[in-house]
Amino acid sequence: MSSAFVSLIESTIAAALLAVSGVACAQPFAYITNQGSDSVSVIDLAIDKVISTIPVGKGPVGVAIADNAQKAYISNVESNSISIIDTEQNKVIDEIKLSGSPVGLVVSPDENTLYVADWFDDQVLAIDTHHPQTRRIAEVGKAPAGMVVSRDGSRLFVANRDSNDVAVVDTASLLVVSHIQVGTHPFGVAISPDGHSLYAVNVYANSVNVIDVASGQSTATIRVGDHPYCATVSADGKRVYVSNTQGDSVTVIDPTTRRAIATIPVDSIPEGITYSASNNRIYVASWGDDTVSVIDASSNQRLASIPTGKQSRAFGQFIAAARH
Amino acid sequence: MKKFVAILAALLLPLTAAAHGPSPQKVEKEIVIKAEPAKVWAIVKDFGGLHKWLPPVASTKLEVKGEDTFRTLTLKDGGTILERLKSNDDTDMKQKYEIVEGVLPVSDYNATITVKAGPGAGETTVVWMARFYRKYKLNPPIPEGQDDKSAIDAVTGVFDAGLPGLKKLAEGK
Repeated sequence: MSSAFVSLIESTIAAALLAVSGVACAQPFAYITNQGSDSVSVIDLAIDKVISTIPVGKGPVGVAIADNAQKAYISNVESNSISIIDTEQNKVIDEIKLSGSPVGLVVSPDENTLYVADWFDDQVLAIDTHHPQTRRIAEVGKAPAGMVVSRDGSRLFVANRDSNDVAVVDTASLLVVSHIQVGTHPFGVAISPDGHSLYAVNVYANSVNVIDVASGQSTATIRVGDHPYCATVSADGKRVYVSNTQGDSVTVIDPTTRRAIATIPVDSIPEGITYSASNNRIYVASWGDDTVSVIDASSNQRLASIPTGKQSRAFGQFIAAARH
Repeated sequence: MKKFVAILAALLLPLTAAAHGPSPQKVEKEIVIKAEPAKVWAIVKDFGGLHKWLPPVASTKLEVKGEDTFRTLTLKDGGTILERLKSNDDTDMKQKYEIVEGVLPVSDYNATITVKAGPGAGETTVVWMARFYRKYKLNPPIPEGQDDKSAIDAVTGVFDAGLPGLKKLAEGK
């Protein structure tokens, strides 16, 4: 039986038990990079408190989670490395040294590949997670930043900050299949859970491009707040949340009507953002206030601020699934 | 063999370790002023009055172009800085502005000045925070005076001069 199949069975049973029992299972954990403290704050989302602070490399920014392998990958921008955290023990167990500047990170659905965007050498590295010295290189565009992978793992989507496009990369060959023109200075990207829609956040254009994955076309450009950086999508795909770094807010988008429907004030200079299906909340890191703002998705209200380390960024999908 | 390769790689690493792009830097300073918040906010809000409380500034020229408000700061030591007002929020007593261009050794500089009541009665706390990158945004080698430290030192110098200047002006008379 493949491990993917086993984990599908496990999560289906877990979801069924949860639904039947009505009692909250263990909640997930958020891994928040603190660029200014050279550490990662681990937040228990059941209590919205930091339960562990893990020292990593210098200037950590990006984060990606491998749920089955129970690992969190952290990009240390200023010490040119990736820290690998064992999320069961909340300890660094290995470090991958690189020559360039790793910022954006994403893990393939089968967890066999870690994609690293080196925005200084204009490259994406595909690193074998079981043998990290084994790496392939993709030339994708200028200053590659945020990335997501298609549900079947066959396509990698990369926001190229300085060439104003999203590169579509075939993951088997690491060749670029197409470039999708978006707004100016795209940084974060997000993909809907059904894999059909891609959202590219354009920092200078104060907008988000909605991209139909099947056709590779941008179908809408939606105005959001000031200097938006990152986006995340709700579990049902009906809401997209965008962090506005200079607006100190989160814009809520309804992708069906292609409109911004709410603007939520949060802590200052909000950047990395991730939706948590377990409690229908959105967590967004605040670089200015050294916190994580907690938003209730049903009311679009900020509930709390969780103090973390200095200059929190958490760029990427930073929530690790609950363990049962 | 693996160990040998690892050692070799470790020895070679320092030659390439300098390669990292600019990271956003932060300077944040605060001061407590013995004056009412409304009085302090009135001074801060006056975008064209910076020379009244930031000693290195000789004069401020305010210009409104369409929906945008700009100020050109002429420095006593020479040189100018052009800044754009992003917002003055009377409810939160918060001002946001950005540097368009100028002699300060920074890039993509934007800042917030927040005025808050407290800690005590009749007191006001002012927090000045800036986010910026070093002047030189490309790959090292970095020209002298354009690195992270130069940027941080310059902004820190502005805040360390301005906040006491604001305090003196607000508490005076």
